[in-house]
Amino acid sequence: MATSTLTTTLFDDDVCPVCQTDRYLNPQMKLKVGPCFHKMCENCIERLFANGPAPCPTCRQTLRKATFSEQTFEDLSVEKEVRIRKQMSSKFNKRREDFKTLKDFNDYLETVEDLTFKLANEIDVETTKAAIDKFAAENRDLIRINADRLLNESRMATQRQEMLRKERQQQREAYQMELAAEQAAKNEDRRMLIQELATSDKSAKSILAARQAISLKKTSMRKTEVKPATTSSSLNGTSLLSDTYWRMQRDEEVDRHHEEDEEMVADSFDPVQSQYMDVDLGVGYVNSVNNNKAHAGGLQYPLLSSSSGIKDLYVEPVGVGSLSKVAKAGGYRLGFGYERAIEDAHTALFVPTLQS
Amino acid sequence: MSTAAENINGKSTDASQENTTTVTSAAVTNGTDSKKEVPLKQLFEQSTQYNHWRYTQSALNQLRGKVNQEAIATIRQNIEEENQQRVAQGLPRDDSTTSLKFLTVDEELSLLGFYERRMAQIFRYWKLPSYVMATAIVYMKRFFLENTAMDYHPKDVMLTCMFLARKTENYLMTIEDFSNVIKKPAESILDLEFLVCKNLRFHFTVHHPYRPCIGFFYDMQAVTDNMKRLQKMHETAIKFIDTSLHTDLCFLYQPSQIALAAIRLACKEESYEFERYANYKFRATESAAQMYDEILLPILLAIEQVLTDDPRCKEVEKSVATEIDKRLKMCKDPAKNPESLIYIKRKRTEPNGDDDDDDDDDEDRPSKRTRLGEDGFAE
Repeated sequence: MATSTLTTTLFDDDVCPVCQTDRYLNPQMKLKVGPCFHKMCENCIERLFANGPAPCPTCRQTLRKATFSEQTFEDLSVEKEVRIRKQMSSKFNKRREDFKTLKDFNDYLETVEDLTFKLANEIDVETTKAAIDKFAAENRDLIRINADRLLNESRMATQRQEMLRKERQQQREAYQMELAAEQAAKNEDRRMLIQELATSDKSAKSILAARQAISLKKTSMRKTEVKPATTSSSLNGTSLLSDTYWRMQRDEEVDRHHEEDEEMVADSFDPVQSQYMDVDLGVGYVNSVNNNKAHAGGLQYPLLSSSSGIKDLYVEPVGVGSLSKVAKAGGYRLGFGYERAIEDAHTALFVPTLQS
Repeated sequence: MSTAAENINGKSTDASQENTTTVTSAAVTNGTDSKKEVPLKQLFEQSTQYNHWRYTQSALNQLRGKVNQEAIATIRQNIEEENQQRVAQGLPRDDSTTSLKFLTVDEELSLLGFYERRMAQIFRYWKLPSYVMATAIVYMKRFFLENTAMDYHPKDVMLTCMFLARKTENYLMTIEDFSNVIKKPAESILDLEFLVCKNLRFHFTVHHPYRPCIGFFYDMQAVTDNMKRLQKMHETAIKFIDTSLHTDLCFLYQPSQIALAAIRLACKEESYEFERYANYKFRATESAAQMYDEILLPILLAIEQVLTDDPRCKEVEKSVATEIDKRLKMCKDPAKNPESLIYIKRKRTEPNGDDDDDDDDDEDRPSKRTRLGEDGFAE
């Protein structure tokens, strides 16, 4: 119920129909609308309904103070219709899924519209109200279920928004901190350079050349780690926003490339020919060691058929889809599954049976 | 849902596995300590299945026979006591059970086999990975090592074992959903739950031959010449493992041994050359070949014989099961019948109610949790 100062200026020449006060006499005057859609300023409402229900001065309907609400639309008929629709929607909340065919759903919607129209234009109010009540009684359960569903959905939506917002905020903060750190490093660098120039007795040229070499090495290293080079642009001081944006783009591209590579490799795998597969599973994963030495803390398998230790990729039994997609989950290596299966196959193989 | 994928990725590990892998990794990766030999302990040696649930065949027979005899003695005693009570209360004796032939161990086993297969049917309908069903079957087998079918009817224990197995293997179904699907009341399932857990000695992790079978499947890829036949052979091997669940193999041999035997048998069926793999793997050196021939090969042959010859590998006829069931109804223990006289008498004299019935606690206290006083300590 927003009644900011913006909206009140639209009603500058408002006059309360009951007490004829206008904004000149009462600058904070706020007109409220009752169920019979007659306006009244708050003072009048206080005055008339302080002692309980009283008849409306315009139409003599019994009203209470609580049933007055703020006006959101300039046109009273719109306000009335909106209120009616709100009430209807709390009862007529069936959805498309509750109907077998589209036609049934449309018929239902049309009946709802008919009733709303009748109520809004005060045609056959009694019969309409009776029809509505009858409908509400018949479909009480479905109404309740749909109401709950709506509540759940709105709750989930707000949660999702909240999470997204938090995520974005965290990302922004992380990038900002990163940039701040880099900026600090740059400044430190410059300061050291100046200090070196001031204190050492080598020629200025040689010092600068040495610095350049170091900074170039740093940028090339960072390029291989899939981080964008910043020292080249550091001296120019690019804007915050473009830097972070560019970084995010870069990471996405890298992920996509790795996906494509991985799928191609798995298809062309030949279990008989290849001794050992190089399968790059993505950023951050290192290929397992190429022999019987322990890898990731695993046991040695002197009996293992493959002389190159546990292979990196096996053909799955029938009925199992490609597991390479599973491997993309963070922290999961396809090799875990192979290791466990092969370990289990080898443990306790030579345990003799119990003798009585 | 793919069985094999779930097999590899879904199962939870024993805590023991984590311990030994960190130990071995420390030994290997720490360069300065490489001289210290940390023995690579077989992980399986730390599992409860290895330490508590291994028997010889004769031990199994003895155990089951003992349980059966004790139960029969108790039931006979209780029937006699019941009759004395009836006489004391002026009712006529119920001598219909004097000439009763109680169930033998073999009959109990075939009844169990019938219900195990029913369990397998239901699990197949749920389309869960095989190891969940296998866990349920093993639970039921272990339960009936210490109890007889005359005391607890297999069809009730079956439901409890299924419910429990779904929990321990991470495919939880709430008791409401479960009782709706199975169409039995929730209480009948939950009443037995604690008893089953107790008889399992709370050893819930069960190792099955499925994962070793896949491990061997991977390993055989190094020496195979025909991938498709290998996969077909693997499917057949899995079927043999399914049948092995209905025998006592899980108590006698290790899962990896059962898996290898199943594979050997499946190779015979699918005429896939097993010896090529065996030579590559086990006969690489003299000593290895000797170890294989002396230790492993007899085990494999013994398992194969069970898988082919044991009558429990075959389906149990429904008629046989109903017949045994009928006899079972007659030899019920009167002490467990809530309407019998001795049950009532015992209920009155026992202060805390039945050991197995932990719902009695609710009668004494309105709330299950201890009430805390103002300073946070139990009142």
